[in-house]
Amino acid sequence: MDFGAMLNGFTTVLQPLMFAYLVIGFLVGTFFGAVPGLTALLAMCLLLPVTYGMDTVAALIMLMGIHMAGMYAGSITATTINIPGAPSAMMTQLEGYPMMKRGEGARALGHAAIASAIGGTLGGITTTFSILLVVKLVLLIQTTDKFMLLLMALVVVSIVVRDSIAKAIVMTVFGLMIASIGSDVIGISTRFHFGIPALVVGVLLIPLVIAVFAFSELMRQAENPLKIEVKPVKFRRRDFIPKWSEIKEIGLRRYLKSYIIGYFVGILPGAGGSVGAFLSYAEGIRSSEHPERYGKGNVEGIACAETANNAVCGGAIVPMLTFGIPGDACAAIVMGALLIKGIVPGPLLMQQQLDIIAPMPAALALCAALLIIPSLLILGPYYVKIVQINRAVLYSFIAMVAMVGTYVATYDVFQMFVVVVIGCIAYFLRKQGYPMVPLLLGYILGDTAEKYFIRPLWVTLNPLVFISRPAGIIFLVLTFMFLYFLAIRPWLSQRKQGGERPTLPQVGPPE
Amino acid sequence: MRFKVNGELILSGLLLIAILGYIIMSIRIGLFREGVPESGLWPFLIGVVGLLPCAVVFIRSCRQAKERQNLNVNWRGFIIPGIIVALTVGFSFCLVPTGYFVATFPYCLGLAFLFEVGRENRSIVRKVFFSFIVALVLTMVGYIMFQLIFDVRLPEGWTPGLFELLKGLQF
Repeated sequence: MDFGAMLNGFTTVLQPLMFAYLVIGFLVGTFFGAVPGLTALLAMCLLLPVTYGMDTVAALIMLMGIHMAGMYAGSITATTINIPGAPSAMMTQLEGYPMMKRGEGARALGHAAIASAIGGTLGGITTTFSILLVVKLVLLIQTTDKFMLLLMALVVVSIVVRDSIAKAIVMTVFGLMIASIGSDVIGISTRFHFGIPALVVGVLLIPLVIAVFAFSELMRQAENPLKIEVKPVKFRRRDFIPKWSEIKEIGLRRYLKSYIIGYFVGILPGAGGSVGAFLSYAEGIRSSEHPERYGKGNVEGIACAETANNAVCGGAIVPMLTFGIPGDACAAIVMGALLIKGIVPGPLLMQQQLDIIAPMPAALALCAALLIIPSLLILGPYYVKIVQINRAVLYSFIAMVAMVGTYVATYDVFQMFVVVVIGCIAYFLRKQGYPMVPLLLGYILGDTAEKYFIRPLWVTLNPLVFISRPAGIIFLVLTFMFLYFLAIRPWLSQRKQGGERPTLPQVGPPE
Repeated sequence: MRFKVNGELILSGLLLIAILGYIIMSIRIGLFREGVPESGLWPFLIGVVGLLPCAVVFIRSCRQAKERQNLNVNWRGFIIPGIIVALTVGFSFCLVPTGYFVATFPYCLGLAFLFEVGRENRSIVRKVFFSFIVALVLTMVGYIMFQLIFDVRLPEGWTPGLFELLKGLQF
């Protein structure tokens, strides 16, 4: 096992130019993660077209910086103005804002930064060492098993949602439908192009991503501009440094438990930082000696949530790099950046191009370890000003980058119209509460799922071929287990109690 | 049966129609030929999988719709997003023939003004002036970002001709 090559990733990231890209990604991610209405996912979507012209490793390092920073930065406005900058900061909001009202906002931000640094660093390091082990497992899996794994991923994506499972399934299916436009995987015909020559190649990734996450968000913000009232507040740099006694009271065990929860949630497709933060927060309440303090400004709650959501970043890239199944939407965009460069995630990539992959978890770890806390100490006093940025400037900039970016990525004006059409559809879907992450993951996994489904059937003409091997049966059993524990059991308990399906609180922009 | 028309009902109905159309088209493409899967099999299967939850959402929307009293679709709320769509379509048409600068400046100007219009305590003249400055700055920022930093080619369109015209006017 080439652990040496994985550790070389750290050396690569620490080169001055590469580190500069990491810092740029971190600053962009912090900005987009902190401003309500924007997300790191949006930043990554906008920058995806320009990764065409960039060095591959530099582009990936920058995207990792955005991912990690965006996950952390949501805690800034969650604490200061009671609006989470990212969905993953919802739990932080419950503790951080009460502390802000007590005049302890700086301390809350300090705890969020420390917890994010711990979770992000451990997540990146774990991925560095675990990814080569996971690749060995992947090599044992054959085509039929891969289809069952993808099926499991699509099911999990559909049921790990904050709201309606039915709507999530519909969106997953729509993602699969969009992926089926154009040439089929057998390569003998084209379908669903309605006679439009430009659609023969199908719907491309960049226009879809820009449409769903950037253009539709622009329309939403135009219809319902987020009004933010900010009270003047001054932070002193020394106030960001929490007391050592508080960190000791939180305890290494709590940090480690939260990181483990977040990391494994990150591996689940579609789960994302908000699920990781929620589960870790819930576990924090359950195992706390003083659960009554939660929800009233408790640093333990901040530590649980922020450690977990930043650990998600490391976990999310493991299935993406090894199986080609993104763990969250941001990992899906990173996968898109790889595909644009003609790099297909999987065991072959890990064997032949480890020098491209190794810097990714290293970038996550180094970003968390070296940038989060110093950025708070340097930029912390100005964070409140970030949210006061003029909306006209912000959204005009986003629109310009989105549309020009689409053109320069494809050099096809038709794709700009595709952005408008899909963007309008996504706008209406989001208005009615349809989640977009299942649509994106359904699209990304669609072609691969069809390939692994059709090819075995061509050879054997036997649908039972998918459960003819132990791995296929295991994935099928896991699929049913996820279905039962994440969907059926909550639905049954909801029916018994006669209440609403328990969901995460819907605060801030949807993922 | 009378329904209170709402966005959810319309959208879920359209999604159901789309999935049904997709299934029909996949059947027309063909599912099997001499026992071997055709190009329509996979789309057919995913369409069938999506049909049930789509129907569930549609039926749920129907149940929630009550006796029709008035339309509760807020059409006015779509005006500004509609203007954004129109501006973007216009920008898309104009980008290549007119060039980056000529197309982007009015696009940014229109968007900036649209978002400025809602701001209180500012005169219309100040809003127009501010939007003008924003559009100018963003157009240059976009040029620097794409053409100079990321080294991608932006469409020239009328720009060389405009420069020639300006040179001619100077003399």
